Amino acid sequence: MKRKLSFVLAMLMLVSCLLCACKPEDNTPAPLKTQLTDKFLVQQGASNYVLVLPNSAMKYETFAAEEFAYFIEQATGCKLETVTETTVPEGKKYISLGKTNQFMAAFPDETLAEVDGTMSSYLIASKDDNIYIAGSDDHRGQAVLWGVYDILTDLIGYTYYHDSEIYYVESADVNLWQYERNVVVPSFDMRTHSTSYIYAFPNDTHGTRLRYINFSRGLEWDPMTVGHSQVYIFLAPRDMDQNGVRYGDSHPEWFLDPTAPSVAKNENQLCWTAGGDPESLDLLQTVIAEEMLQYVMMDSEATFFMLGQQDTEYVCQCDGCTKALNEWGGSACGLQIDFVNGVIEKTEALIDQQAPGREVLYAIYAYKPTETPPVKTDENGNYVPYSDRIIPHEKMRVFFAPVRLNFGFPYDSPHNADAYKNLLGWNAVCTDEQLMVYTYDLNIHQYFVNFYNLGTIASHMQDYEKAGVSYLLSQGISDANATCFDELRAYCISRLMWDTSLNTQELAADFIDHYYKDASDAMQTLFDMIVEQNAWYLAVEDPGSGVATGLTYNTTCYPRAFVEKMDAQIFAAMDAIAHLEGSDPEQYELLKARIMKEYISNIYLKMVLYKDFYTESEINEMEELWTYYTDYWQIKRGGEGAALPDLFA
Amino acid sequence: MKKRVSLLLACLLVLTLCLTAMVGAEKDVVNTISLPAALIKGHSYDLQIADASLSVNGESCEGTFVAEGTQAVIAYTDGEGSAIASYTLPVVDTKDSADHCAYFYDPSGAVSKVENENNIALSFSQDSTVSFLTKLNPEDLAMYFTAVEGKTNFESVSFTMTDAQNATVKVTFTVDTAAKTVSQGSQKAELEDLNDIVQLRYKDASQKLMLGNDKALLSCEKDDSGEAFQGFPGGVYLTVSFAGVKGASTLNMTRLGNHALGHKNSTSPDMTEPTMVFTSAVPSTMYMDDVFAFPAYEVYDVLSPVTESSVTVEAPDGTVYTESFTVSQYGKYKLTSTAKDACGNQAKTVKMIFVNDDVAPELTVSQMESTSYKVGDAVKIPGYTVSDNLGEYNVDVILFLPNSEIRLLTHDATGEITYCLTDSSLYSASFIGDNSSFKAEQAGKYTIRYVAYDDQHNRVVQELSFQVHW
Repeated sequence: MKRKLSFVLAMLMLVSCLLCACKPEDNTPAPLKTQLTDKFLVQQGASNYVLVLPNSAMKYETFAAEEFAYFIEQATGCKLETVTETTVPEGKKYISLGKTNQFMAAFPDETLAEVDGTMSSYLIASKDDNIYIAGSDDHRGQAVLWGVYDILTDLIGYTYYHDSEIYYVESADVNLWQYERNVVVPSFDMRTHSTSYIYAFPNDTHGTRLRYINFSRGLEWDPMTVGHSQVYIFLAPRDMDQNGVRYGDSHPEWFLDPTAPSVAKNENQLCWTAGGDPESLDLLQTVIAEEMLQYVMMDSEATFFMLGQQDTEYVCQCDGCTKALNEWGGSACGLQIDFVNGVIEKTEALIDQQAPGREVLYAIYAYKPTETPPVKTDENGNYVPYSDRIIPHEKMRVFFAPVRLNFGFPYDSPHNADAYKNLLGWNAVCTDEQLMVYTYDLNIHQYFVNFYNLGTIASHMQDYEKAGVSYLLSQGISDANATCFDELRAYCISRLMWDTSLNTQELAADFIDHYYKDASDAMQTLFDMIVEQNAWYLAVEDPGSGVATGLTYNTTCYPRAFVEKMDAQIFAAMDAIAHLEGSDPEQYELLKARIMKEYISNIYLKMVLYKDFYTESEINEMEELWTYYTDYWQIKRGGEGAALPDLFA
Repeated sequence: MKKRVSLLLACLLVLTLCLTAMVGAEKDVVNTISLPAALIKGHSYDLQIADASLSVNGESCEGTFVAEGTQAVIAYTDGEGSAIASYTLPVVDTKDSADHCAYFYDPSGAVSKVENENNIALSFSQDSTVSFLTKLNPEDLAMYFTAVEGKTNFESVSFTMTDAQNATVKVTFTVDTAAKTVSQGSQKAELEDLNDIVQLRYKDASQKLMLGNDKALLSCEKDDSGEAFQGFPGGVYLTVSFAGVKGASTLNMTRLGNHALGHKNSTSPDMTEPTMVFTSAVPSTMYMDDVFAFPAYEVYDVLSPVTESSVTVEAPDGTVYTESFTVSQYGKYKLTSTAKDACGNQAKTVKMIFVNDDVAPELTVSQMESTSYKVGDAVKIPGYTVSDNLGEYNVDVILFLPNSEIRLLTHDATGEITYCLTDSSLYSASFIGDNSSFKAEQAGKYTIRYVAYDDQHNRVVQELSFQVHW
């Protein structure tokens, strides 16, 4: 018996050791670390540390050093020196950023294979009280910047809530942390939240600090071809061929509408089989490939070039397409993939000739008419590609954009059964790195109406992560600044995209606590009320309201008594900061503006749904606040493409 | 020469008497007395001022009087019988509201007035002024006019609103016909083509001059004397002045206040209803045991005397109040205000006052059977008891899952329960249990939030948490 117990204990210890041993090998979204209470990065406002960069530091490695030095100085008053790998002063400890000589010397066996080619994964390790962060040679060294933000969080509690609200602990002493050798891998390697405010901020600093890349005006994606570019950018019927004849006339089989006189993103479509004529298809692919080459040559920085379908519900249904669909295509996107495979092959051949060594990737949409993946089920019921022809070229990236998804329910809800099948299907068609997702977290037509779907969006992200999605783009309100806790959404989505296992309620509460400060209790109650009301409305009254075009602005979802209680929380929030008006007027004005931004949404509901209930003087007061704060916050739209509503006419 | 000296002495005597009377606070009172340029025959007036006795045509007057004859001598004396001020006002006969031109009073006779189908034309050949004789409602005072082509031989037309309670408070909007601008004090705004109808509207609540389409033109922050302007609490007297007149000119006034001018051939001399303005606040929300005080109000009619006005409040049970009362019922109280003029035009407005319950329901939630489960276990939802002071309540039981999802489990509308947690159109089969339980699909921390609220959305919340392990 004793022996048996010893064996069990020994096994338990072994398992325990194995678990410990495994830990450093796991890829996690956060460094594995221990605080060293007896060692200091900064002590009494002074430091023996410098920041070390490679002699040829990449853009974001340099910025990482600047950010680290800036925030440490803000927190401690101590200005850290940044040196290059060949000028490290004798006797100094350091934080090494990038593949420095110091890093190579400390870890001679590191190949960094785990981070190669990634944008965000980074290796972090401590040795002899020095800290090393290194990423891939790609993407301008962004991964090192993310590593710096992570260790700033450990060192000084750095948390970036918003450009006007950055948290860190102010202290003359900063303890050192010991990092186990670990590769930090975020849930998604590349992340974008496309809101107007994020990318309106000068130099994208706001977006960068939220760890986002700029999809439409950044460096990673070629800005010319990004979006719905197939007809809009690459080839329109009105474009002239070599003989000076419109392509629409010389090759009507290339277009859904060859006679279209104009070009818009939401009109027309290429015929991806060229009417079923292989020769014509080859020519069409050649013409597009030559165009693509021009864009590749014009933009030497970009990695991603899009060949995005038009933004319509329609695809070609000519005999050629119908036949191909049945024989080998499986879905409209199957035809698109086959077509773009051909374009990529031709483009790559051209690049080999004219820019050998240039590495680019090509993205298409799986959106609206092409959302359904070209799959069938095998004998076990698993999804498999419909045919060999629709397997994407290794350099193709598929942007799955489930615009019809019900964002109020998880993927496994019956409300999202079709979308879930599509996600699983795309997972079967694409390799991990090939699948990207373009999702939505806005109420497209009602920018002023509060809604809540961050919880299900988090669950969607978890499903995307399981499906191996490499890039997640979430479209927020991208054509205007907005109310309805827009800053909170940007923060939560940023954190979730980095680590989908985080809890949105906790993230939101933390944000509210830091962003609204003295008013946080009232604003948390307001937020909770919206969460609860949406949960009830979605499940009991209108499950369909969870789609991005859902209708929630009505007297059922927002009864007058509820709106008045929303007001009561705004007034309570104002009461809570009133004491600052005399003692700290700057802070008072900042918090007041933040609170009033949410009050704008209440004014909208009151004026649209309950205008008759208010006196002229009450309406005048609301008009004054609406006018002032929509201007203050530069809120200029009521819905996508819609003007600011004139509530007071 | 002797006669001339006598006249001079007489004038000095009068001046001395006036100066003697106008000392201290009484001087202030005199300075602020605001009277119309003339009285209208048959109209009733209350020109009483505080701390002064009023006499009209030598007869003591306790309160209101009706203008008769051709002039009225209005005299104010202090408590000791000493004269404070005296005014002689002409009495104009508007022919029981039928002579609309007579309302535009011009003692000099320099302005001729003709009523047309859609306007009253004011014609003049020299700088001149007309005063409109009734007190106008400043809440929404329309002053619409058109310039007549070839007859705009004047540089400017000014609209001066004089506070009917304090003659020293005046606000003047001046339209420059050449520059096509309107100004007040140092502010100026562009106007559109003067050949179209110029629709100026002054709104006292916002103290703004607007266009008819509600586009704001000017914001009145100071009055004509440069003092901070606080609005017109008791109506305004309007004068229209023409300056820089270089030849025969005409300006057609098309609207004043809520009254469209013209209607020469109408069957009734006045077809426009009165307007009412509450001069003290009317709450939109009240609470149990509050005392409702009836709001003060002013009634205005552009042409006719107001003959009736009232404000009543109807309680949810139908009880009608005309005097202050204590709120004793939840629900909607209907405040109705009515006014009628001498021509039978009636105005009626209704405003709802909500008496809201502010007491949240009482909620008691039972404890979890366990705070630790395994994935796949059925988790029993603890029951609750709830009550509300008004009887009706709602309870939403909301589940916060470890993966951040939120699911409504049940909605209880005063005992009528919607069991969302068994709704297979909402949730997956792996989650659905029965009406009082669900299956734990994920490991991690779960929270059940109970939100009880009543019709007024008074809300009380309780939460329970438990862990689910693999």
